Amino acid sequence: MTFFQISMMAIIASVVVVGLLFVVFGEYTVRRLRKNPEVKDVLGFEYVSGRDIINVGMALSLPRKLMRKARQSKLSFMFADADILYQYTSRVDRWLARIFTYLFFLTSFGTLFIVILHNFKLI
Amino acid sequence: MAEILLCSQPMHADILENQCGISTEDIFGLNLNHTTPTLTPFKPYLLGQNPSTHDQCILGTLGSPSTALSLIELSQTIGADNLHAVAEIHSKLHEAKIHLDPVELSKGMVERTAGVIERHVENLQEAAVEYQKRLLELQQAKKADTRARALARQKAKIAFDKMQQHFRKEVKLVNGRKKVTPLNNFKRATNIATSSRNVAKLEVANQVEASKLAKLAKGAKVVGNVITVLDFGERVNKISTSYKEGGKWEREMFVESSSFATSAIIGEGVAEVGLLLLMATPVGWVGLIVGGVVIAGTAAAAAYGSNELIHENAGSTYDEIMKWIGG
Repeated sequence: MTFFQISMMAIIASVVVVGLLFVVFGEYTVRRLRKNPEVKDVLGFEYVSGRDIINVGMALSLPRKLMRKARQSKLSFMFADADILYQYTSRVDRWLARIFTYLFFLTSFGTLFIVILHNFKLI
Repeated sequence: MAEILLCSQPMHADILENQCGISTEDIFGLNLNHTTPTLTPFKPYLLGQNPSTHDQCILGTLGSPSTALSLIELSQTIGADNLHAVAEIHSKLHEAKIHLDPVELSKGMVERTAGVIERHVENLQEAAVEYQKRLLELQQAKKADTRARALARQKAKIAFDKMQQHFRKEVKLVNGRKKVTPLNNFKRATNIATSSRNVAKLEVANQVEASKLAKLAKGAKVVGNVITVLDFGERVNKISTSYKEGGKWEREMFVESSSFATSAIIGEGVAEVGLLLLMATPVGWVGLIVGGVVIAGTAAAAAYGSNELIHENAGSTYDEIMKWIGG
């Protein structure tokens, strides 16, 4: 198998895993948050359905300083409020969020990297 | 030229004869046999004296009940004559990989640079992007005072009207190009138009038109006056076509689902990082809008690229895995 074939398999495998984590995190954590009147308004603007899952994941896994800055910017309505979310989530929720978010971005940019390499005929 | 009759309720042929002046002799079913006295709803029928096998082909293309249902809805919402035009635009936009969906329309940014789109479609697209921008502004203005909100609403309305205008122009252009007399039996057509909302009549000139219509019917969903075209529906369609034709539908499903999921993940990932970068830069309103369009364009390009890559290569990956499992 060539490097390209292996990376294709890795991409597809990680897409499946990210998809599963998306559902698990969405059902386990975010569904509970959506029902909670204290937090349901700070989950960020949902321009595609399900984006709040990614918003919550980002708020719980990226540095809090960065998320606070995001909440103060003009685009604050796009992001979830990390400080409030931390009060209503358990440790399991946060670790699930971190695994999901980092794998999500890794898959996203990893694939982008492969796409670029492939388009420039490097692999 | 085939004339297709569709109805949304069981309809007795006598009623049809009384109200619309169509005799039972002139109605043919799928196998070119004369129909039973009652017409089945959501099933296309052929009108005319001596239908050819060519007409039968056209009937077959529009044959599935879901297609017929969608076609009746569409022709009642936008009119049977406009339906062809919309189908034509849909297929043209589809060739350029653009979908009549506000979010998806930003993809047009990428395509435009490639210069594959005709000028007038481009206008429609620009208008749609503009409308999208105004909507985002309106979303922002929710927090502002009433005057700013009213202004944003006004602007969105203007952008919407402009988009509609371009869309109408496009419809007219396509309609004008056709040298088809819209209704070749005037009396019968007016009868159908006035007597019933449960019957729709379509005129289909050839197989190409029929397949365009069927494609539109599969992808489009009528929501009030708005048509939404779902990309996902077409992917599912590909899989089921492969299944029906006895092809390797599992393979097709693997290809479609992995390329859909990958492009969704890539697009969203790039968009999120873009947003974070955008929020970290101190820019004004214009900057935000321009930045938003750039992000949408980049995300769409990334999603588009990955879709291409996975779509082209997932098939051989599937074969590889199967070989591996099979030993």
